[in-house]
Amino acid sequence: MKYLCVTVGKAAAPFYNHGTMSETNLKQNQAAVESAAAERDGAESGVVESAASEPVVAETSVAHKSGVSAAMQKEAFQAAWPIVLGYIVLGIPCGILGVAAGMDVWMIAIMSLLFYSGAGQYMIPNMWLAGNPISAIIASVALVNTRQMLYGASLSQFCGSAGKRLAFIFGATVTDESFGVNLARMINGNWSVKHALLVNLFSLTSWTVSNVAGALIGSAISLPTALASFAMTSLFICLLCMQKVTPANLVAVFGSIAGVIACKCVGLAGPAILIGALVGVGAAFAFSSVHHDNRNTTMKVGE
Amino acid sequence: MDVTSFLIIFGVCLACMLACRCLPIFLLKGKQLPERFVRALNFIPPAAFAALVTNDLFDPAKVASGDIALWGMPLLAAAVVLVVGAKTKSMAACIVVGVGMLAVLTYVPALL
Repeated sequence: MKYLCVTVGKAAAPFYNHGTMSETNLKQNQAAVESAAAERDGAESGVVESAASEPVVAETSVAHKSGVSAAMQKEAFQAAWPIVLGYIVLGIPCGILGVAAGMDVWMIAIMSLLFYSGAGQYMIPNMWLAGNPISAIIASVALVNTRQMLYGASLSQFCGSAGKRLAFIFGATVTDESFGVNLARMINGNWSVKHALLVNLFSLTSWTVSNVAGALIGSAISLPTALASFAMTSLFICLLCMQKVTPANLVAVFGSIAGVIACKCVGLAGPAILIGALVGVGAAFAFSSVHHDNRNTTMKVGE
Repeated sequence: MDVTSFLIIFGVCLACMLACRCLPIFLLKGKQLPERFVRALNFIPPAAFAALVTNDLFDPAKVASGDIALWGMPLLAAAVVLVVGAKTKSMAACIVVGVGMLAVLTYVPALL
């Protein structure tokens, strides 16, 4: 990935690197990049060290056509597997809940594959079972998911040279978890939109498969939903810990916390995440403006 | 849930979701954004994750119920995860410790 630093140039890279990934992760990434480079070199020179040469040649050919190498898939899966694990734990009870609300397996499958929203897919059956009208279900689910706009806006900085189809599929498969995992690596500078899309697709696959599995096995197994959902809460806490600790970021965090608590106290549970996050961003922006803190001004264009 | 109701809910929710997920990317990608806007965008990750965590942990109804264990145990487990996350930056460790801690806090007192 290359990106153009309009305001502070390459000097910004160490700032972004710090606090976004551990040293171990950086070493793993470096090793993965070197491994990918070695693989590319081998492929280009035609040297493939394998007794079964034909399948390797065929696989390399497919990888070149799609622009996705085996090394890229491996790197993406290494980044995605905690999300995959969490989605399996959370997806199975979601499928069970869907069946309890009278949804067929195909409904659960198509909703997981295309709508792909944990919060939304838990809300729809719950609200349906509670006897809410369709309009109320739609309004509530739409409000809860408005926070996705913030992710799209943030990720747009890294999609400058991505084609329309790639940008659409990438954008359509972003979730809270994959946003955090991908953004940390994109800021680090060696994570393309294709890498990020692979993370999204691994996550989407695990979510869909576990939802369908939950729908098929029904209530044969019982997973406590509170425990399962806490896996995602733990993931969010970890992603929060990966952010750089600056005074302005701390203002963003505490502003968001105050915003969400205030929203939920006055009964605005639906848009609480969006409003809370916007309060945090606004407070941090005001703080950084007053204190002339311009460290968060790197403009990134392209892949 | 009948097919018609499902298709209405699914169709409208999907359209809203795709608009929220894709429109900002298409409207902003490749654009030379003002410095102030980029600065605001870069505050989104800490703000969004703090909002998601708070939304998961804070429930006014549980707090009002007077049962401290109901909302205190997830809060305590989250505090432990925060320490693990700050030290390790490992998502897998956070998930294992978080779920394990909450399971212990939830089920062990009942066994005693």
